[in-house]
Amino acid sequence: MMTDKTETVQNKKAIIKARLDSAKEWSKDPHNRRMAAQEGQHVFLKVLRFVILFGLSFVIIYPILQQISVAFRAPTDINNVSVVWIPETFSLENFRIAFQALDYWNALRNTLFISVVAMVLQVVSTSIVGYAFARFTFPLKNLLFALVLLTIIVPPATLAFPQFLYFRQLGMLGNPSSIFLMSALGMGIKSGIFIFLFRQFFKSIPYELEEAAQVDGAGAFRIFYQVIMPNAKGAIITVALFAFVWQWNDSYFSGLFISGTNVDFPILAHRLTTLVHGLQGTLTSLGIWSLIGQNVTENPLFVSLILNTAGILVMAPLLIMYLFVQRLFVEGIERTGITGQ
Amino acid sequence: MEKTLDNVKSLYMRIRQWFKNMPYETQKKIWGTIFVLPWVVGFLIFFAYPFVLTVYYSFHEIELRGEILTTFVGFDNYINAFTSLVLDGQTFTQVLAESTQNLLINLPVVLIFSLFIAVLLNTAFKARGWVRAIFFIPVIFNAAAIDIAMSGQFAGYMDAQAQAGGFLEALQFQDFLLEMGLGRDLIAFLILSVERIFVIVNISGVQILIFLAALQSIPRHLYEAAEIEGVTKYEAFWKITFPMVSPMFLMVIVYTVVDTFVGSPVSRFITSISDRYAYGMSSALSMIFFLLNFIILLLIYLMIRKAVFSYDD
Repeated sequence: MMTDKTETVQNKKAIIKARLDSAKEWSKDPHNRRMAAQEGQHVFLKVLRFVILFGLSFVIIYPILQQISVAFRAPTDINNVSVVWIPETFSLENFRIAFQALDYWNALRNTLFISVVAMVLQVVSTSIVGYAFARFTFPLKNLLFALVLLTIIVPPATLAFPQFLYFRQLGMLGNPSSIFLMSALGMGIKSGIFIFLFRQFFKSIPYELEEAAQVDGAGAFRIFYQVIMPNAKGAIITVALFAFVWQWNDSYFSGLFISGTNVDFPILAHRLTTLVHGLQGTLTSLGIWSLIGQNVTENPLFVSLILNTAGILVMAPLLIMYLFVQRLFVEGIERTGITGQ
Repeated sequence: MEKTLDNVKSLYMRIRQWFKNMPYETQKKIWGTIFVLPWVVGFLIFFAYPFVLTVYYSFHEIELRGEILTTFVGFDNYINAFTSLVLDGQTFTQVLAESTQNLLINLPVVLIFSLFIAVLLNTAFKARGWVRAIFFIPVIFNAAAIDIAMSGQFAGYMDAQAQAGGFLEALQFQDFLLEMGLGRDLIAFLILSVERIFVIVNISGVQILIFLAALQSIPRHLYEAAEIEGVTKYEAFWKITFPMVSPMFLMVIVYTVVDTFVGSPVSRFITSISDRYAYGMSSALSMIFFLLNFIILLLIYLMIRKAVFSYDD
């Protein structure tokens, strides 16, 4: 019996040793070693990526969730310490007040209109200029490009006052034509950055594409919109997105050129800025102030609560839009027809 | 009627023929001029003239009485800006120095961070769409109006309730680093970075998107070729990804510098001065502000010029 047991133990030891040896043998092969190292690296990177991305997502999303939860809190519950996340009394009261204070549906329609038109104009004008800087030679090219960079660096508010005087002379104040004109001439919000972006992307498109089109007899405009633009999808989407969002969020120029002189043309961002500076006045003139009990309106947090809700209302359409648009950021833009580079 | 149409047509054909007969280089020059012309017009009307006017105003005292009255004051506005201008108990010089310091700390962090995140977001994983959408939120948040509305008293109140422990943790972190034997300056830098993570994430939204778009425009065949040659991912990053996105570094730096300054107290300083209708002074402040931006960007450009890959070479 005893010998049997020792034998089995020895057997097992032998088996383990054999396995270890084979593992050692396996690991001596440099190819196997590399495969294993890569596998380990792969798993490690995956875990690292998960931790970083989801951690940072949390950092971004936490305050917003908090503010959304606050927005649903009844105005009477402002100082209720027992409420942490889920409001004790669910209430759309804040939203109702914010809707009215922002003149939401009118402002949303106007903002959408301005943002879409300005976005299209910006993409067209800046892509054309970007293409000129990327592919053509013309007199004063380097100087002009330096001037593009200058337009990026000079703070836009610096120039707003003289621009305002222009539009007043032309009678273009109070409607979006001023903003459209500037966008169409490549002078809209942050146009310089868009020109730079387009130039960089057009430079990365291989020359062979254009040469092929040229041999086929296409003119410069045709090459631009039939060959270059379809290949610059990533740049177009990026620029369009920025142009739209920045126009949407702009309260300075839209306030100065449009809403400041024309009360019947509300714009979301400008409306929100006005609320920041005088919510009580707006609410009083709308007749809301007197409807809410005095013990609520006297609380300084009430103003902040309504502003909070208004802020959510202004940025919500952008977020919803982005969820649809981000699918266009396809992985790796295919460059068909070019081989052997 | 028909005859004029024919005339126009033949004129067009003749111009076309004349154009086609030109040497190709000249054709390209003409096309280039046509393409850039709308921008030049816009630049002259909406930038050059207002800019010159601002420079002119900065040397004058401005009064608005129905029309604009100017009195030449030489460099007085500039001198006053640095010597006597005070807002909320801070001089312009202090605000300027503070903002510049903040920028120089944030800039390298933002640059590395946004490229790193863009690379991560460009890899394939589950729920990528949602994560990308979340990283887009800071781009929306970047607006002054939303920022002010959302960071009002209520946000402060909630933070005070929720984060009484935050400071303590930072202290422990500092002790931990001290025990590890790191240099004091390095620790200060690390602590500052950690405290700023929230700030950094929120000012990097645009930069991440720019890098993401740049990453997606890298031809995939480069990676395929590298893979066949047995290149590791680490090597592929430094030999392919990095050079291919490096032209965007300049763009991202320019954006970060300009954006940080526009959102900084310096900007608020200028706005509040111009709200007092002191246009001469506010023009002078704007010029100082612009020159500072320009000098910083020029220095950075000279530093990184060599490292950036360019298609021109």
